[in-house]
Amino acid sequence: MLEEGRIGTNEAIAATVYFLSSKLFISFPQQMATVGLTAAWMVPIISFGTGALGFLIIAALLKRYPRMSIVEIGEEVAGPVLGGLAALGYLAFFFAATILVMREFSETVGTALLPRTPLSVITAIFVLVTLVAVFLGAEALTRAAFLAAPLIVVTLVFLNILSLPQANFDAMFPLFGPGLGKLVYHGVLHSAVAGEVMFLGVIAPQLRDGQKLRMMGLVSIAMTAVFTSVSLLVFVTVFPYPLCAHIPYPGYETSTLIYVGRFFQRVEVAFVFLWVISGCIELGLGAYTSTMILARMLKLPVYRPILPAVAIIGYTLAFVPPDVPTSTRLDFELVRTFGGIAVFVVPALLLLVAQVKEARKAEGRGRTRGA
Amino acid sequence: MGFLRDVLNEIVSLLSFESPAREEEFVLDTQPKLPGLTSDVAQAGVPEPSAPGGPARGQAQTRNQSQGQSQSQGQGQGQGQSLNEGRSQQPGPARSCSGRPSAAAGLPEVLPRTPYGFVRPRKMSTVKVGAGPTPRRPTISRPGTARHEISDEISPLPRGGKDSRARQQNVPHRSTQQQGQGQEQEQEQSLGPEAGPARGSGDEGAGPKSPGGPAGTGQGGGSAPRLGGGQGQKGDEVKPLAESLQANLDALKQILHYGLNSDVIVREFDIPTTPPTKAAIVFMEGLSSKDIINLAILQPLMLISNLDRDLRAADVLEIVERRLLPGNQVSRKDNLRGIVEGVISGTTSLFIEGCSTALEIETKSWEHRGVSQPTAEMVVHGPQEAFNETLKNNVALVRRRMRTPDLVSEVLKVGTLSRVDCAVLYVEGLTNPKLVAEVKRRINGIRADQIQDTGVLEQFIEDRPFVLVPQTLSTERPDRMAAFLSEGHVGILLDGSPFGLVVPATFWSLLHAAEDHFLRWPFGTFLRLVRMVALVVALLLPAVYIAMTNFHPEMIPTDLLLAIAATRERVPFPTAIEVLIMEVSFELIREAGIRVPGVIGPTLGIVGALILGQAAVAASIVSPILVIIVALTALGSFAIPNFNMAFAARITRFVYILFAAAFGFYGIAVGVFIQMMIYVSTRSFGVPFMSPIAPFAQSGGDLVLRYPSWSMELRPAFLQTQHRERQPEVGRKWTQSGGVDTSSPSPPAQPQQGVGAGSEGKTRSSQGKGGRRRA
Repeated sequence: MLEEGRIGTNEAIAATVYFLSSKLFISFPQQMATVGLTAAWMVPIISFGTGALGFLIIAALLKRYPRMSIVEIGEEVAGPVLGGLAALGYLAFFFAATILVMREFSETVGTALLPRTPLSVITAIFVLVTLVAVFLGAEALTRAAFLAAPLIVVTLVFLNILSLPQANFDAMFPLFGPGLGKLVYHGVLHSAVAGEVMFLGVIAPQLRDGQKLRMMGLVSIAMTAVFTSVSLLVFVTVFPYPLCAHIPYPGYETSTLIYVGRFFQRVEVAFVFLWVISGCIELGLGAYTSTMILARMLKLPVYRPILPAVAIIGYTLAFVPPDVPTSTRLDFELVRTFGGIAVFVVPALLLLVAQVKEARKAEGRGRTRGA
Repeated sequence: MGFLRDVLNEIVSLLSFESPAREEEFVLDTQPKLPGLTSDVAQAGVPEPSAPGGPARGQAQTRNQSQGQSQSQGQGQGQGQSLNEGRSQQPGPARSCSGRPSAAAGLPEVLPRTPYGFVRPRKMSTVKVGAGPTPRRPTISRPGTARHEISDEISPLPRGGKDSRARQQNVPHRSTQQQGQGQEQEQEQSLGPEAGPARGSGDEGAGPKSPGGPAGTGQGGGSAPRLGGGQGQKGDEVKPLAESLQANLDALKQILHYGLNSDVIVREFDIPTTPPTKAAIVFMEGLSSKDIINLAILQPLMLISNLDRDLRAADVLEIVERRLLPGNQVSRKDNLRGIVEGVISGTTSLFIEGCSTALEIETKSWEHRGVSQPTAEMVVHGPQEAFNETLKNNVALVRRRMRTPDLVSEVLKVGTLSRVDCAVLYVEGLTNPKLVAEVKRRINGIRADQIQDTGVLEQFIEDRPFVLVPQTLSTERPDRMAAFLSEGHVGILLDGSPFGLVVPATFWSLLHAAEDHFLRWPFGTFLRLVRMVALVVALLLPAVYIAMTNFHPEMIPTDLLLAIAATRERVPFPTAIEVLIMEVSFELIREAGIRVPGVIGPTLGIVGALILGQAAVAASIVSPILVIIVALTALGSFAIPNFNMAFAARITRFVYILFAAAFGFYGIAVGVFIQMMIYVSTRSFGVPFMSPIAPFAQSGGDLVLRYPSWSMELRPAFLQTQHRERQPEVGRKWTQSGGVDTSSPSPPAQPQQGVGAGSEGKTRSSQGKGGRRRA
């Protein structure tokens, strides 16, 4: 059954926040620093702001077609072919993002925790864990996200506070980095960093309180924007530009600098421990969303039988990028740049078509009455 | 083989990608779903409204139905207010998500009030055995013995049924001693069409048969396995007694293997009438009180009866019952099955020549242990009494702490051979009827020859047998069970077991101890935090030690690292092996400590201390710091208050050790994630195991922390109780000027209003300070 389990408001928000913000622990800060320079912390605000606008469109679409997921809505509005293409776009975005995130998380673990373990083993474990998580379903995943929410909050708060002694706030200036125009340009261009919010559109039929869907999405985006922005502010002050733009995992590097007395130092492992849990949740959510989109696209009554296939394909594709910089670049320049078209522009078009269809219907009804 | 088959089935179901949350799974959900989104699904699943007293089992708990239930509970003006605040979507009369009145979901729209404080809903559906179709009843015939199919022979007399019912109605609730009797009545009432007309319209047995209900439950299937496990199936009747005393005795002797069974006593005598009336009593030696039989049955009947001449047999019976038997519980039985049930439970049956009805006299009395101190849940501060092996004592211990007539203890029979009584305790009008029905459904659905302890019962009724963590809460403390019952849980007691079960159980409740509430709140909170730390230590400390020493030595401060390295210098084993040696040794000591005879118990401590503490270090088998690690881990697992939970932690610890040995912190993190996923996907009687945090619901301040007693105003939301409010907003009313009437030290209980969380804000603010008291 595709729609098994019920997801509460709190759980949905927690899961979406995890989904959106876990990339903070991998190369996302570096990418932001690359385009935002000293104002890297502003870029997520703009990106997530744009993403929020995009989500309002998704929410409007979902409101118009209650009890349907974004995939079925596409087929309802644009027909099976165009709707299927739209779903393919969502699938491409989520699947690619999940695969690249998995690769980056594996690289982070390999760098920070298991330098002598082959990457394939680390990735394989991630795949297996993700398989278990997706098998147990969205209900369990979102509840786990809510249960683990304090972890990510505590991690970020401690990381940011304990890094403050290393921070040099002069590195914030010039305040607008490359200039406001460029910031807005990059922010809007990479609005797909908030693309995971479409997760809510996929699980919409399972939400207990679907009427609050818009609130859930906006709250999730706002919380993530605050988290990422504050964290980036700390990162760019600890590692002033251009250093920050050249460190693959600024979050991890920041944690290595924490020094609170002789006893409390080198605690990055503890942070990575928590980040692995965040990564597992994010990967689970990503794989679940991809699988569900695929299952809905193919009109499957259940999604679990295709899990092994999805897992093997994902595992294989994760090794396509030859190295970390390539996967980072693919993520930022491909997925986060063009992904916006799939997750925000396509729903906008669908909404437009739905509007036009409705207007025509109303017109037709008017004529019939007039006749 | 059966277990292996189950394991294989589980694996096959995993491989075939069946949903772990099976469709028929009972879900006592915490929140209603949005009507607009899924009402069509819900409509398809909601059953027709059941008649008052209709079968609870018919409400097979699909996910959709339970959604309907939760919503209907969460709405409705008739009941007062919504249980889940802010979830009431529609004004108007209470409706389930299917659009039907809430009665469809098991809750009445208008609840009559009782003088005892709780609003009593319509009569609860009693458990009806055999309402559903069953496979053919197994019978066992032995060479040389006749096959006595008592269950095929019944034709109950209307009078007996009416009388017994009338007696039952005279008391507000069945006492424990009456439960056996009441149980039989229920069994008889549920026998199907044959019993129907004589029992009146209100008879539970006349309720509609549920196709979804469990098959013949074995609840009343006779006294022995040859009688079969199913009662009430089609054609299952019980033959009436004959008028001939000898015929009745012969039949009974055959069934009870009189002559072979040395403890079956048949005493024949004459009642001094003119001419003398032959009579006989049948009882089990050791289960019945000889004093009662001698003084309250035989003596009045044989010596002091002075009956008129030429009485009809029916008149003799009437006079004997009403004038000559001073026993406090006497009932009529008109079929052999009921009599056999009674005799093997310790009652005495009196047969009179010419009567096709026997009298069953309560004479149960057997040797049992007295109430003693708890052994597994000891407290420094609080009651010091525990359950023992006698069911009626245990029920009484709970009832003594909950002196409300709304506390109901329904007795079911479990085990085709053991036939032990199993009491289901709940507070009528408070506990969610769906939960009660589900508990009874599961107990009635047990097919086993014997259930000797709640530990076995637990395995038959839990939701996920393959999940390590316990899904029921086992307790030996009546005070704790009473506290849970007052929250809206259901208690299960089994005759012969000194441990009761509380369902549903949540992860957090398994980390609570009775003492938390008997101490002032800062102390209780502190203890709970200590226990949380203990759980983490018990689970992860050895694994973290392995991960740190093997994979991330840079985490350890240099001085400590050098110290550890120095102590490990002469140890030949890798850290993981060293940890495993110590952990296994410790488990050996722990197990041996339990099994060793008490006399040599102290020796074991010395052996363990010497071997693990000193000799192992001196022999360079382990490093001293590891002894500390293992000792701390052991302390952590001892600090977990629930024995089963501690077990789960002990076993899981080994998994973490292996994960850490293989992948360091990465392995531990992955393990924590998987464990978290398993926990959040587990349910206990339809309630998510990690409730009320995941899914989130208002907890009422009794979770990780322990709020002050006067501020815990709400019952747990996840139980979907019929009344959320536990006590008024102002529990310390004396703090308000003029708030307490000093002339009445113990104010009478007032009926509790149907208050739900939907309007709780208003109600509590407007009425709470007005001095409403806890009912």
